[in-house]
Amino acid sequence: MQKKQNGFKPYLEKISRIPGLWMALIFIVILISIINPSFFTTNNLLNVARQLSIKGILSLGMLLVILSGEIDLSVGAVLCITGLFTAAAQNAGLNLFYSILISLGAGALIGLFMGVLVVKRNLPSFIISLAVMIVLRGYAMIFSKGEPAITGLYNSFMVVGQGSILGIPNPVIIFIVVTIIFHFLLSSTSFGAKIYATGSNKEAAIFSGIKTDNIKIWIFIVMGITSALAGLILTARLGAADSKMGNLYELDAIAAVIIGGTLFSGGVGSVSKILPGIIILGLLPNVLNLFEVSPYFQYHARGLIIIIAYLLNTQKIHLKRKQKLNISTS
Amino acid sequence: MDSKSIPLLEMVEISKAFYGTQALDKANLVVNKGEVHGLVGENGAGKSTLIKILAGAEIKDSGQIFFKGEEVDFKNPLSALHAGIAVIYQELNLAPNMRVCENIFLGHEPTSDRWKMKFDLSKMKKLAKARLEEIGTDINPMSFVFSLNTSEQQIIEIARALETNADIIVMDEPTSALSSKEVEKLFNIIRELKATGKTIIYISHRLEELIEISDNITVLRDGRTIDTVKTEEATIPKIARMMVGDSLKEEKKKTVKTNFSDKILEVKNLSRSLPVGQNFQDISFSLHSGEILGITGLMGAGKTELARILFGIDPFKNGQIFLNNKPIKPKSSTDALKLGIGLVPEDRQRQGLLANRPLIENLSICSLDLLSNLGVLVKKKAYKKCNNIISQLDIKTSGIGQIVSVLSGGNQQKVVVGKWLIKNMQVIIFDEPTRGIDVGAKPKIHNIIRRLADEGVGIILISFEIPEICRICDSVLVLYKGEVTGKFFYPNVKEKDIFSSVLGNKV
Repeated sequence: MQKKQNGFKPYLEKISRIPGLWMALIFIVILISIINPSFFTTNNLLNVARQLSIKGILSLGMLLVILSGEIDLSVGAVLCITGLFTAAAQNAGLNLFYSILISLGAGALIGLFMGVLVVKRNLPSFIISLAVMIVLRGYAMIFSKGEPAITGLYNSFMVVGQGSILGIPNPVIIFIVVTIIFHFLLSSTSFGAKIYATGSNKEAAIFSGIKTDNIKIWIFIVMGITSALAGLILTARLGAADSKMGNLYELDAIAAVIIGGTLFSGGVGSVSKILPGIIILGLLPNVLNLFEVSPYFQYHARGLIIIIAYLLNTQKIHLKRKQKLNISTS
Repeated sequence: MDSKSIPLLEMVEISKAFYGTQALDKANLVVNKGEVHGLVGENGAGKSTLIKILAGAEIKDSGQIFFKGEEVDFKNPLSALHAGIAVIYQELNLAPNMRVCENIFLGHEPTSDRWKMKFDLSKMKKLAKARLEEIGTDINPMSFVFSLNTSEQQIIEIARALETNADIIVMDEPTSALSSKEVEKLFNIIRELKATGKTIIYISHRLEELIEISDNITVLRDGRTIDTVKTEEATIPKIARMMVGDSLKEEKKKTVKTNFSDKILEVKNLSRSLPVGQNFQDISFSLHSGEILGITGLMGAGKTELARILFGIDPFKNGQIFLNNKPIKPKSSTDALKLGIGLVPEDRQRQGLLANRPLIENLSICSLDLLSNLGVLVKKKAYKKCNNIISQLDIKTSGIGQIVSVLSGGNQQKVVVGKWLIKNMQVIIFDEPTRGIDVGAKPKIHNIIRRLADEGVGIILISFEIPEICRICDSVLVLYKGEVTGKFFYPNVKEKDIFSSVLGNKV
């Protein structure tokens, strides 16, 4: 009798330690599955996963940017332009490897450009990335010469977006890999520690011997490459590249990061905390569809979630000051 | 009772603590009507906090304030302003893109219509002009504030304070950006204000000015009021002595080494000339392994600027620095770290701590290369080393995951020191390490410094508190307005001589 009682309490304690956003996600999933059982089918779940992978990858990159104390509004535009580049390269007959490399390289260069401007000229990343976004969108229109879309992609390329391994769609696999890499980066490398320090208190980080300028430049480069990766996947999935790809994706990326409890000023946040945010935002179109709600309501829903999540998170910060992070030292 | 004998303002046993620091510890201030009362103390003494509490910009933890004989409790700046207390802050609170007259009447502009919505610009112009002439200046009331220089802007602030019918005008470091001519002009205005019955509280670290303009001077140190003296009976040495401290009888002097072998650091003819901050020329000194070199001087002597250059944060053009007899030129804090030079900065909140990160991150941040393998953190090693530091320094915490912002001031300072203890540093510079820490915790920091020296680290201790310097330093370098005015070596480290150099007398 006593053993049973003891067994129950630590169980409850463990549940209460799960961050609130995961709880919200689990709650939503359970609720929906009850109301509409067709949600919890493998087919539908894989569909949801495939949908959210691209924005999820962007959110992971955005997490790094916001953690370091900056912001990047250009990710959707970079996604678009790099998608156009790879499509054009394939049409020009460049082999698969190089046509992918061109996109990733372009993303890296754009990131480098922004990073250097932000750091060396001390310009606000909001303004720089906004300007880059607008310029790239304009360039995308010029590049695609007003044509609706560039097709003619290699089959081997389209597999990236449309194929699957062991039943799991390739975009999902890539998203999972990127998640693992970024989680490892932030939690277990000295680079990750420097990112948190730079975002938490840049001056103190400098006084501790950290080259915060370099950290920020690298983060923008990583964000650029990440955006390009997302661009490759989306282009492969659509089977074509057009100048409107990735429109407003940056907003979802930022939203997922903020919902996940990341401090907007930087220094606090993690991959495991933004994952439920990515999934919840990714679920939204699917959920609204299942309940036959007008797709236009999506924006309302998104906005509402952002506000509610932010308010709840700031309440938690007040409480968390007295708590400690759970770190086991065994 | 004669109204003249009741002080205009009495601040009684005011205490205020911020996260981790006791800014004021039962401080007192008594100001009589019609006087110019000087308030003085080094950085961190509590002057700004005391004034902010008076102005309603901060809320005291305990104590009482009596204004015009009645107890008051200002919950916000507006109520203090309405009561007749105006503060002119060092940074000047004007709206630069608005006109002079608009600034003077900011918040209570005269209106020309029945519904009190339209500002009466011509009336503002006329009244402002009258007020400015009263003060004795010909500044155009229609000029935009951004076009005025600091001295003129200050006068506008005074006009604004007068326009609110202030009885007390507080001036916080009013002369830090003024030329000597402009200072004279300001003093004339202050004398005029005094003649019209206004009361001035004048905060400054420039003792010569205080002697010239004030009637009484109150000295703060470590959040406490040391004493209030009549200016005519005061001398600069006497006031400075109160600011930098009397010998504390509690701590006995530890045994001090005299034979130092290896010269770890040598500085030759170092000079700095930048537009911001104190410049210095021709600074030379050497530091040996295991030696504690104290660098002291009043505010503005150039101590922190020197520390920043040694730590690579600021550049230097002229002079040389040698580490273990090899010339070095650290161009960043990263360089300094690699060379084995560490700095425990002056402002621990802004420069020393990652406030919203856990203890383990704060402690390991300077030794990431040591604690990782090809970029990957070896967490076991990090935990072990950090727990080591925590027990070595006796940091009171609930665990290595504790967010550091909730630690006490003394413990926070141990964290800022502790992060330099994981790697073996050659030189560690401590810039005012015991500031804002209660008296009981200071010896703990001193013991940590002593222990480091015993292990062979070269220590530079920057402090304006001469007794502290004398207590633990093996040698002392004194700076005065950017120049070396004294070098002392054990056993000739005597408070009196050091003090004399601090005031500018060259040995």
